[in-house]
This record gives sequence, structure tokens and C-alpha cells, in this order.
Amino acid sequence: MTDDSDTGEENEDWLAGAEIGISAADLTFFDGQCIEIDTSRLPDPPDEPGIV
Amino acid sequence: MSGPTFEFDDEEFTLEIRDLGGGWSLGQLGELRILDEATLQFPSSFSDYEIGVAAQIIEMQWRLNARFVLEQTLDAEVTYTDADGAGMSLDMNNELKVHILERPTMRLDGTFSIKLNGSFDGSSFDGSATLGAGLTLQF
Repeated sequence: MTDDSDTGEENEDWLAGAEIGISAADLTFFDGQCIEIDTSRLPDPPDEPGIV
Repeated sequence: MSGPTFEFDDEEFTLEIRDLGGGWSLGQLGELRILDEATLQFPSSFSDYEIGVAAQIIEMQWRLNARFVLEQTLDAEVTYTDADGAGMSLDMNNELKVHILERPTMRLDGTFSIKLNGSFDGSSFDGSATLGAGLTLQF
């Protein structure tokens, strides 16, 4: 990687054949959302629903 | 008609994507119908009904938020291994981040761990979720 690797063209070169590994934890996927569920797409509920 | 009510208490769902070829970029993962492409693993104690609720939550929020979350993953630990096998950490900047998000891959593998936290009242879920990601992009 060179100092001028921040251009798209240079990135193409040094990324060719390369592998990028990413490890991330505890990212916010969504927060405080109220999400309507299409219950018609759900299977029959269990006979005795309980706390998961 | 409303269904049963229950809580999600940081239960973890895992989505695995293996050997995604065809030139998908990291950023395009947000356009995937994620449950069609990924293998979903869920807590063994869950009923089919609970899994169905969780799957809808994940599917809908993936469509809305995946691109933003995928961008966030590049602010975390990112390693680079060149074609000769030499590895290093990457010093990420915005331009490089955009390039990696947009550059088509030869192969993409990934695991996403999603923890749901909140309550289902029989017709809607109210709560939050966090996500962890382990991804390998081959160019």
C-alpha cells in the first residue's frame, strides 16, 4: 500500500487478490423501534405461550 | 387478530452467509433478501411462532439499516492480507471505506450475530437490537 492509495484506481490495484477481514461487535442494529408484525405470515402460536 | 405476547431478552440470532460469489460488494449486502441468502440459527428453546416474529423483525430492519451498519463495521477491526499473504491492519479513512463498500468481491463470507431485546405484544415488537459481524472479503 502506498501513500497515494486513497484513489479508487490505486485501491483497485492493491486490493486485487487481497483479502479484507472485519470483526465488529455491539453495533446498534436498531434502537427503540416499534415494528408491526404481519401475523398472517406466522405459524400457529404454541398452545401455552410463555416468556422466552 | 393478536397472537401471544412474549419478551426477547438479549436472545441471539446468527445469520451465516457462505461463499457469496457473483461480484457482490459489501455495501450490496444491504440489498439482499437476507433470509433467502443466509442461514438463520436461533435459540433452541424458541417456538416456530417466536422464530417467525424474530425473522420478520430481522428481515425488515435489515432492509432499513443494513447499509448503515455495514459502514459501521469498517470503523471496527479491519485487517488486510495482500495477494502474497502479507497481513497488516488498515488505517481506514472515508474514501477507503466507500471504496471497500462498493468494490465487487470475488467471494464474501460473513456471520452476523443479532441480539434482540424488547417485547412482542401480539401484533408488534417494541425494542432494540445490537449486531456483531465477522466478515471476510476476497477481491
